[in-house]
Amino acid sequence: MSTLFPFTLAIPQGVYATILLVFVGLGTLSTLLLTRRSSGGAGLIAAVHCTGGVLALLAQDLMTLLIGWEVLSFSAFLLIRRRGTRKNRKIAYRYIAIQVTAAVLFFTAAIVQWWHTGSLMITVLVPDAQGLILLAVLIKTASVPVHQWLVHTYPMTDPLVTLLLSVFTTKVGVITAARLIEFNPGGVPVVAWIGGITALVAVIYALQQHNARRLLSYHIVSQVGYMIAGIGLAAHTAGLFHLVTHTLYKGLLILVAAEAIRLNGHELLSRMRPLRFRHPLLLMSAVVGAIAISGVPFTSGYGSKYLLKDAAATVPAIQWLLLLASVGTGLSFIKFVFLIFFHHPEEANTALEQEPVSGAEQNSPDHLIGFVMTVLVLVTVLIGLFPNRVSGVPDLSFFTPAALIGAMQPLVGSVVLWVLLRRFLITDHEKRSPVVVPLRLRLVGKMKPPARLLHEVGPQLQIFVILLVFMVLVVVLR
Amino acid sequence: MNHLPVLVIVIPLMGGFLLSFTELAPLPWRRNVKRAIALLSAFLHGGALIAAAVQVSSGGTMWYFLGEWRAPVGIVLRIDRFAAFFLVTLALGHVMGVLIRMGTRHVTQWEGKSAALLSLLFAAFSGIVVTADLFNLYVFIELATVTSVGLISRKQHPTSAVAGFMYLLVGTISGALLLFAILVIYTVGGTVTMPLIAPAITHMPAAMRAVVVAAITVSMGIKFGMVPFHFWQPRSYRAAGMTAAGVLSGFGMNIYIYALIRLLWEPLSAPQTMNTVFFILTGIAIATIITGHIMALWETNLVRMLAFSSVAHSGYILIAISAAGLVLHMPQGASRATGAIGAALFHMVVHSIMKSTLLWSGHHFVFRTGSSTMTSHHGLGHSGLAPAVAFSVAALAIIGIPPTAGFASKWAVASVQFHLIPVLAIAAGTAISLGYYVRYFIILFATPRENGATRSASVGDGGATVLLLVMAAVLVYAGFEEEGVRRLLTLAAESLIFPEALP
Repeated sequence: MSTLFPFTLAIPQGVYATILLVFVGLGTLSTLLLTRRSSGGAGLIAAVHCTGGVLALLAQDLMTLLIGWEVLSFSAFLLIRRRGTRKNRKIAYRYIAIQVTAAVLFFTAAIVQWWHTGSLMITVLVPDAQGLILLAVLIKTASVPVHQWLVHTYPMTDPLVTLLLSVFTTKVGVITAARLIEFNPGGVPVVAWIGGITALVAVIYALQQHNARRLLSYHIVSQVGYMIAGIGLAAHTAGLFHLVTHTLYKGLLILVAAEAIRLNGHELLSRMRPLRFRHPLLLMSAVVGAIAISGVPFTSGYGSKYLLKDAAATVPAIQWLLLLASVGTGLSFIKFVFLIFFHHPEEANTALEQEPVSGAEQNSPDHLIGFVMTVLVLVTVLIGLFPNRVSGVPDLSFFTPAALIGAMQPLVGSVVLWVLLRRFLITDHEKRSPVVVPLRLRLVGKMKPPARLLHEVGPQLQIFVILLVFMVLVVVLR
Repeated sequence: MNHLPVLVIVIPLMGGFLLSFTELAPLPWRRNVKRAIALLSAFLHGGALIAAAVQVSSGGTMWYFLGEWRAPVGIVLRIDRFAAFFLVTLALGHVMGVLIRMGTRHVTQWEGKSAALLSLLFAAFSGIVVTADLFNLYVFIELATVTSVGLISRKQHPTSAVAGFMYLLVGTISGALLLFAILVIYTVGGTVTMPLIAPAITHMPAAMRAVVVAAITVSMGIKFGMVPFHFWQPRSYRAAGMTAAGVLSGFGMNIYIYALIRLLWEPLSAPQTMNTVFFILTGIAIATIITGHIMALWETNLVRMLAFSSVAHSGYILIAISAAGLVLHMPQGASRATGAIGAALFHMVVHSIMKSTLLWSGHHFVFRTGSSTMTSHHGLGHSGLAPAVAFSVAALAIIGIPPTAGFASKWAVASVQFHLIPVLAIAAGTAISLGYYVRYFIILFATPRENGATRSASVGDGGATVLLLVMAAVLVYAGFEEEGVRRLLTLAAESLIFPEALP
């Protein structure tokens, strides 16, 4: 067996086993949806993508984990590129460049670990490697300020691809963080701070969004921030339990968005025709997803946020950051549900609103998506009712009156803010969010940069350079 | 007396000699005669090389005294395990190079003198590897230069004439510097037989040693494309065409690096006497990696892009070699140096396969469009799926994506370093190289244009495709056999670090 690629795998225990269930279950369902919806090998690539995620979860050595990362990145690249538009090609290119940058940092961290220990088994890395692996994980989890790749990529793909992508990439980053990182220089929980700030900043961005999947993308960034905060506070179970619950309800919300997009023909929330009660299953899914992500008691989000809040009790500032983020999350999802189901767009500016396309194809409910949504709703509610039955979650009493009241506080805040700011929030100000484009690599450059011109030099200059370097070498070597 | 060491030079020399006469054959037979002789020469040469390598690996170093003239008067040939490794790569290169030309149904492939030149080139390469005589080494390097110039300027095109002339110029300077170094060594040591020089020149003044080391480094650096002597490379590879460029870049580069290692280690004992040169080489290697990759990122021409990628990869090899020179004074120096040289050898062989696969599969698309500009290959991946798959796998390997052999060799090179900066350069190189390979991939698999005027696939590649797919499969498989391969290469490296005395 090779020492570099030993492929040591183990069926995980505890909360990791739950994650495995979620990965396999949700991965299978979304692969199924993609296979049915699109032709030409998307299902196969999606299956490979799931394999990458599971491989990363089961990995017991760094190389297998890295292979999991790379499989995820390259299959996602193929899925994003599949639409074939110029814009998608660009986005896929940028996506893969950023993912491989993260992988390269991982590689460097692994080299440092190898120098110090001579082993590549997964454990908390040596202090010299912590900075490198932290950078890699921050990119992978799309933490602020390196979150742009996620919000640029996810809304640009097929909605079902968004579902698949949201299940794995960032979550694998979180798992990597939980297993490899312990970074508290000077006793400051840096990772937790980054997580807390990410959670809040991303929510603030999310509140400004009017594109359904862009809004959801910012919430992925924010919720992953919660997980990173939990892991930074050494509360791995809390962070990973939040990963489980979040993956499920975020899948639900993305499916709701996908259906809303299909029914409307576009994804601008403020211009969607209100669906009202015509699609009861969709409405129920949206409501369950929204209250779960907001942390309403007896839904899955409550349980994981309870654990996170418990963990953050030692660092009040981070607790506050998460609390504020919760208020924003609740507010954002009241808006989400309201705009999709009950808001009448002003008829005056219906430039984007299209004629309802021939009814049958557009408005008939999609039974398979309905089935998947039903499963997700059930799981979300069941986990919410019995959080301590989930494998790996400590057997606490989640529903003490104090905890319930505590959980209701940010929700009350959300509702109050909604009443106050409703008009402001639902108006599309057409403002471009201040997103920096990190990589502007042209597909094929036409310019001749100075360095390129340098390579057109004639023989005299070349000989001069050769002799010059020779003489410099002689002088230096003496 | 075992004649294999001289046979590995004589066979391709004879092959080249005979091939140059095939122009006299009547036209209808000419191509078939050429093919037959080229194939025979390649397989006989490959067989001799492999046989020599096998004998050396079991029976120890092989010495050959030409005409029974003993050193220091006569020419000595020597194959130790270190040389045997390069002989194996040469065998691969010669056989695969000819097979690719056989398998490509390209009309112009068998016109002119290219077959003869290729055979002579491999004779020169084999000579460089097996000789233990400095002046003989110089002669073979000159032979390699002249045949390379022939290959580069073979196509009747103004740009190839310019490229050939440029290569001739820098090659001459490289030769002159080498000759100068040999002269200095000879005046001080009184011999040109490598194993006898090291003890003879222990009393060489430091300044003189510096001049010799600098001359040899620059001379060989020019040949394998070390920054800032790499200017000739993209131009020449583009002019040479993909098949010849695959040989020059994939297999020629290794040979010059071999010569550099051999000269620095054996006659000059640079790791013991002149450690500074390895610090400088580390710096140059980092510059080589970064420059090569960045220039490749800017390139719009496929062959030039791959040429710059070769420049970058010579940097990876160089960085491992300089680590080997530097670790000698650290604890367990000898074993770490062996590991580092082993890593360099690993990257060399993997790079040979990767780069030749890339160039030879890229040839398919260049032939289809008649242009090596990347944008003209828009959507060609759909029609030529097999070469595109071979290209993509080789590209994944050369970027360094696990679990391919390219990752394993990159890991080997990085893990023998002892400082973070070279590792960061290697890592940055990975990220940059992803940029240009993925870009080409996107172009290759873009939705095909309707009006794409390309030559039909039927005159494209035939059996060559199979070979390319096999090479791609080897690149994936070799990653898993990393440990066994490295153990073998460590054996090869040991015979460099602990050379055997002349019998």
